[in-house]
Amino acid sequence: MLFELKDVYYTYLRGTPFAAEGLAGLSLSIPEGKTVALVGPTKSGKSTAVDLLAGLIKPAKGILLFEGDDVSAPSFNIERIRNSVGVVFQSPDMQIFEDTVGKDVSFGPRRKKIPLAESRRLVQEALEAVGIDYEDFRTRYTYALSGGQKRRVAIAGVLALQPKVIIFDEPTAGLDPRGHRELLNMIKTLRASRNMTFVYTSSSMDDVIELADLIYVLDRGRVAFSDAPREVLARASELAALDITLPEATQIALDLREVLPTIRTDIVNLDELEDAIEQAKHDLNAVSQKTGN
Amino acid sequence: MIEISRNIAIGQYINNGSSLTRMDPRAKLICGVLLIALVSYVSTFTAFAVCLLCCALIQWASRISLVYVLQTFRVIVLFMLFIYVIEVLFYYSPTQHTSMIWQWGIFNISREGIIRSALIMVRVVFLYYVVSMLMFTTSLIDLTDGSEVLLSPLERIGIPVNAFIMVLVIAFKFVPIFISELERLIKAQTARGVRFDQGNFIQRVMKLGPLWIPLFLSGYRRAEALSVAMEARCYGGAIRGWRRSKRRALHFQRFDYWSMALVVVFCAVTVLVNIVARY
Amino acid sequence: MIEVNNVTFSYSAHGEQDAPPALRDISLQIDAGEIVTVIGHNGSGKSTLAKLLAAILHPDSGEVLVDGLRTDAKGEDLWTIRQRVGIVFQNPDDQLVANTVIDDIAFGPENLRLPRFEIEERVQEAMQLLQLEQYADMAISELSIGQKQRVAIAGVLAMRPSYLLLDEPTTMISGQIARNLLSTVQRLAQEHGIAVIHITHFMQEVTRFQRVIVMHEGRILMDDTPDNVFAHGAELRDIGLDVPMVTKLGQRLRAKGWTQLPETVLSTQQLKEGLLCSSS
Repeated sequence: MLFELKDVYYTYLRGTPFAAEGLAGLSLSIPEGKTVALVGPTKSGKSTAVDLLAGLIKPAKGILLFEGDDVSAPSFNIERIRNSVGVVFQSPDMQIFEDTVGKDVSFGPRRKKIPLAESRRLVQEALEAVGIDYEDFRTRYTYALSGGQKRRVAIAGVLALQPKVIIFDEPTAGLDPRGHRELLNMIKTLRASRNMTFVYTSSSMDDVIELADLIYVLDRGRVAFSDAPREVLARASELAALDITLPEATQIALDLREVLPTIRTDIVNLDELEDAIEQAKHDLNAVSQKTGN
Repeated sequence: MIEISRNIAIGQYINNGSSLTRMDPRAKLICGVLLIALVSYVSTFTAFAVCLLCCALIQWASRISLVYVLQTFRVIVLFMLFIYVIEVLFYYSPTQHTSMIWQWGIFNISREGIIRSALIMVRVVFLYYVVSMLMFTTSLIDLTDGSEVLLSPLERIGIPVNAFIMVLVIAFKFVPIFISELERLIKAQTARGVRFDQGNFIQRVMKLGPLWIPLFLSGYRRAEALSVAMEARCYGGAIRGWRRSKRRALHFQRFDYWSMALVVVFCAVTVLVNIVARY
Repeated sequence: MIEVNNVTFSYSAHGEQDAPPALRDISLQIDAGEIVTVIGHNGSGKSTLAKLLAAILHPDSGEVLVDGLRTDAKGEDLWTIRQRVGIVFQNPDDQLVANTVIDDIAFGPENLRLPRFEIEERVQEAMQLLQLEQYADMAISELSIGQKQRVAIAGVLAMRPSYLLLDEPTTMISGQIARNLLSTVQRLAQEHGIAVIHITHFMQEVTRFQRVIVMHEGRILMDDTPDNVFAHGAELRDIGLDVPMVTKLGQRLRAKGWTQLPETVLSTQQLKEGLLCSSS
């Protein structure tokens, strides 16, 4: 188990008049090599959980174990986590700060004092992993990149650090459907080609259905429930109550519950929706019998 | 480094329903200005001790945690220490040779210098306190309304008080937003491998360098977006002589009259103490 | 009525780097009380169009007229346009000015120099319409994004606009709240005869509108009722959009024999009714 959180509490600006709840008893586990998703509306604790996993904060109460060791123990060096975890935030502008692509992506390796040849190889690999041509883009100015390209470069910058874990913090928020799909495909390719642990946070089920092995649904700083993607979707009404965006097909199935009470909601696309309606259509006879049609 | 807002208290209004937050802003500002004038005038430690009583009263009435308020002083402590040393070393007055302790070239330390400079520091502390408490207990709207009314005579001589105040108000509104942006930037870059809490002082300052550009850019974008939104709602501060009407009418209550009276009396007493006291 | 006559607009003419024209020779007309949606990908020109309609930007060539007044007017005319055309942006933090809810909603009417009693009346009305009465004295910073967006809308409605522009208003909001927001806005607009122009890139949001304008690379590709627009599924897919899932589902079910469903299903409500009828 790479990460284990046991009943973790954290409050921002504790002791000030502006204190805000971050986590209120969060317990979850992140197995190595898997993709774990944290899904929940805003203020559910997703960002706080990310800060915790990234080694930016420590639990106020409760235990965080990294590779079996207690993070709050005096002998624990927080750098262990920081060097093993890479985070890709929502806005690439916050993470890109060098003037050229090459310099920005190589920042990580340079800081670790990795020799030049090895560093160059890492940068090249990282850029290729996100679908950017090394030779072409190496000397390009970062400010001249398009939004999509910036996102890729930001991810490459994190990959070049060779982290064990890569956390994507709501990476598709605000993107239009096309941009969304492109990013999702890139992350899928990454998953297939690298043996890393992935953590993904989102307020929508769309992306995580395709990516996650395990989903934790968060509500006000703790886990509401967790399961494999399909099983979580089956609880669509609970997800909707928590204000989590459902995939279109699932939302339609949920709406149709009014006339088809037994319709399944663990569906993600049109084909499955059609089948689900097929399976549940006997409900209509029951309804029409009731109304005497 | 992550919780910067813990230490920076500018523009942070604490809405706890205390009697101070409910005061008419004009009365509060008048009291504030009087106290600031008083503190600027007073020049003996005894009188400052009396001022301390006033501050204690203000602190009690505000119902804000004293610990929190004291924490906000952390920001200026280092700065003040530095200024104090400079003040003492370069202090000059015709009477100081009578209490000279040490001299070397242009530097000198005299007992008079130490005491006078300490007075200046105490004054700064009180000023900082009064202004901080004013900001903590007065909402932005109250500040705008109160200042606008008090400064309105200036409009008659052509000074665009309304627009100027709007600028200040928005600037203050942005401070907490900037701070949270900065915090997010720091997190984002720490995740890239930048270590802000390592290295000597110079190195740490250099690391902050790349933060300024994204911060400035995002600030600029926000400012632009906000000004567009305001104009879309027909705000015309950029036009000479443009005025708005007000939903809220300010009314003086009994508490306001009492507070102002109390402050005036207090100022008179303190001035007397100041004249009579020896140090 | 808002008229857009042969408008071309290019950001490169305004200092930004070389970019293709955001809008190429666009013409359209929006009548009083119409409920319209504009859909397209980022870069299709839809946000630029919204800004031109709100008189935030001015066309490089051509003109935009709001009730007969040109948007590049100065003085009184510009003021009239700004009062008549209200705009709500994506991020509420970029629009809200005051500390408390009630003070922010009052911002617009105060700028219009209305007498105190009228400001109070309008503010109360706007709060009721968006169900914000309980939040009246709350600090805006304590509200959720969905609530803040409602405050932003209330602030615009308090100015009694004739046209309401919504520029991707649900981008930062998720789930049910986003859908509720759109329903509320549409209902209010219809009740008060306000024209609504809703800009989005989500196809699912499009179905509830009377008129759909599809934009692509600065041009208007389609401008019709949802039924007619969705009949061109192939063309939509060519530009990277698609027909909403409800509609596709409707088509498939009809093909399988559920003939009571309308040819173009636009909402789950229609699906439900169709399914019930078909079964009897």
